[in-house]
Amino acid sequence: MGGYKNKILRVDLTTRKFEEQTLDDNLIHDYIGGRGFGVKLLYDNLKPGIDPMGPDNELVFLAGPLADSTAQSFHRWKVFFKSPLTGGYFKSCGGAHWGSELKATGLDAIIIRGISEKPVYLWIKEGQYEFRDAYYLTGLDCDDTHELIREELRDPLIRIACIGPAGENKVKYAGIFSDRRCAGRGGGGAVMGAKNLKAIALRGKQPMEYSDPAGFAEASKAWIEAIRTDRGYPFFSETGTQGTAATTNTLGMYPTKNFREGMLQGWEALDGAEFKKVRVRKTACHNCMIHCGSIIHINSGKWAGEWSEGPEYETIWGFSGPIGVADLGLTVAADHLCDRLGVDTISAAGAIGMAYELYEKGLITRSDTGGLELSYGNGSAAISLVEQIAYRKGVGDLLAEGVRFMAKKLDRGSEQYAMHVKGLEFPAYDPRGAKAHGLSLMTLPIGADHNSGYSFQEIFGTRYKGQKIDRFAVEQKGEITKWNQDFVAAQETGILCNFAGGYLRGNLQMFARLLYTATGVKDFEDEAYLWKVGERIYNLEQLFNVREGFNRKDDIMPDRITKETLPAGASAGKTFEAETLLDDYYKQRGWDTSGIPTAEKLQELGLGFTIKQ
Amino acid sequence: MKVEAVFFAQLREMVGVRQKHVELPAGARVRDLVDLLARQHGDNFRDEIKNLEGTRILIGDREYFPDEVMDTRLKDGDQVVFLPPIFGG
Repeated sequence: MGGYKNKILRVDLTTRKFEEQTLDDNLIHDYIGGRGFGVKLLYDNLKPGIDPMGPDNELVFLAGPLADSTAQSFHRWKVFFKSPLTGGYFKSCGGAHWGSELKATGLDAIIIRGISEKPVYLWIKEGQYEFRDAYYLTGLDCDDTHELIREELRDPLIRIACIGPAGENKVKYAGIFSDRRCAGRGGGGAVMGAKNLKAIALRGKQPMEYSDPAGFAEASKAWIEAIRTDRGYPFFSETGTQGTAATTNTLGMYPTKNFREGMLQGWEALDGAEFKKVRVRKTACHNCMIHCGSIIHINSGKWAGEWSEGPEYETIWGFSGPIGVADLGLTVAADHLCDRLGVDTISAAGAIGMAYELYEKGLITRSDTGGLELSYGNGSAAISLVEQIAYRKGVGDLLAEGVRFMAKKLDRGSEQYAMHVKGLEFPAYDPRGAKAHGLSLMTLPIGADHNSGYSFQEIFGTRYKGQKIDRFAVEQKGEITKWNQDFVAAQETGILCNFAGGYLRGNLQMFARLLYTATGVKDFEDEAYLWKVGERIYNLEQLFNVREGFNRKDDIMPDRITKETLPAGASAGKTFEAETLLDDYYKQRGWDTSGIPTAEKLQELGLGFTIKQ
Repeated sequence: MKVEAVFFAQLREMVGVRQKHVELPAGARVRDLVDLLARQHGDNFRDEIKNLEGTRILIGDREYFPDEVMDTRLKDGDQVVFLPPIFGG
């Protein structure tokens, strides 16, 4: 069979043992790969109720069946784990070159459990597996960790996924970083830190094999043409996500001052055209023609000398809207700092945004912040907070817990200022301005994630089955949300980048052709089969959480979103009709009114094994 | 009358500025504004608005798809925003 390497590496950090396993044929057929493998392996391997920071939690690192192939934009990697931030199932996605390198080492996946007695990193080179001493790397940031491992192993082309000080200090939203791209969300870096695992270094040259090489080459060429000829491609490949602040501010849904406003005054300073003026060059993940990334260098003013690879839209928002200041240089400085220290910029922004509002309300004071003035417009204080979070110093120790835990620890009525779903901080979209997008944020098993059910129809005006969509309407949003979520789940079986996937617009046929010609599995050629697997994956993710005690009570929006209106802009006066939307969504999914998949739905999806006898 | 046209993304690159003030005869419609801009910046401007799926036009805080708003009359002082889709965030 082509595509797969047919090999999983199991690593036990407690016993310091490696074990190779083959892929199960049923796993391949029923779950395809990527996100499908991740949820099935995690569902099978983790007992309910385990401590996310304990030895029984697993980190499942995966490359997709098309990673390291000649096809464009299938080379990202995913990591799956029980999240210390949400207490539930989590998936996080990283880019750069690590995913394709994993395949080139001859592996489809690495599954890591246990806790190492001493700091270690893993060195994996085509069938050779080593635990290596990471004592000398302890405390180093992600940039230096990459550099020193490459120096130690005398190979500048080694690909590394690592944690920074935030992961070592078990910041609940620490990410896993590889060449300045990261699997940022959900606290995978904290899980790595709890396991005393600093990094995983890879090097491989094993070639990709295809079931039908000529067919794959043809399908790959068609895929390139589809992207290249899309009318949106020239601009997106030039600007990446740095243009998105124009959309969300114009639509009045750019969360500002902890979701109290929908437009940031002066946001034009953060438009894509402004970033283009200070751009040094474009960057891309392995074999990706989207090249959404860019190296930005600030040459003058307060932030002169600061640079980063990015920031992308979420980080631009994170260090502007929540703290009420539109300062391009600040977003660049914060982006690089978070990348170096190993912090998810979105959750950090959520915690910092909440802290600014708590400060304004007098619920925390200068004595709590160590003298920092958390007043709107003071961007330098946000930079200080990132450092305090990563090292758990001062008030940073509180912010490092995430907004849900912050509210619990602080009490004093602060719960109303904690903007999250299931413990995961909101991204850069106000749900009141896009109801299907908000419904997805509210219902996703991983919490408020923007990538797993993005409502292109509402935010970018694309059509749903040929139909224009009113972003404020409640009607039909359960159906659209399910469609968006299942679509992403289907495309993530191949860990297809969501940006490239956006060009499919729901037409999975080209992806199906690539999968079939690579693997030779006949069912993969059928677009309808991919949709079914997408829905199967989504339901199994929900079931993981149901087993942990999640239900409707966890699919909940903060009161600010459901009861307060935005004061100005193109989304002014809107609230989020959570209960109506949720009832419709559960019905569309074939779940009961508690948010639990029915036995009939589970049988239909081939998930009967999850039903208790 | 005078209206303010605002451009984002590829339309901004096409026009070369983020915003411009445009003189139109009283009673002019959105279509007249688009025609004027196409004369000034090339037919590609009209083509992008017509064919780039997802492009929206905002007048004040109200948003429309292009085919819904072409016959809408403008009034002095209106701000007309041309917002193409950007695809990603």
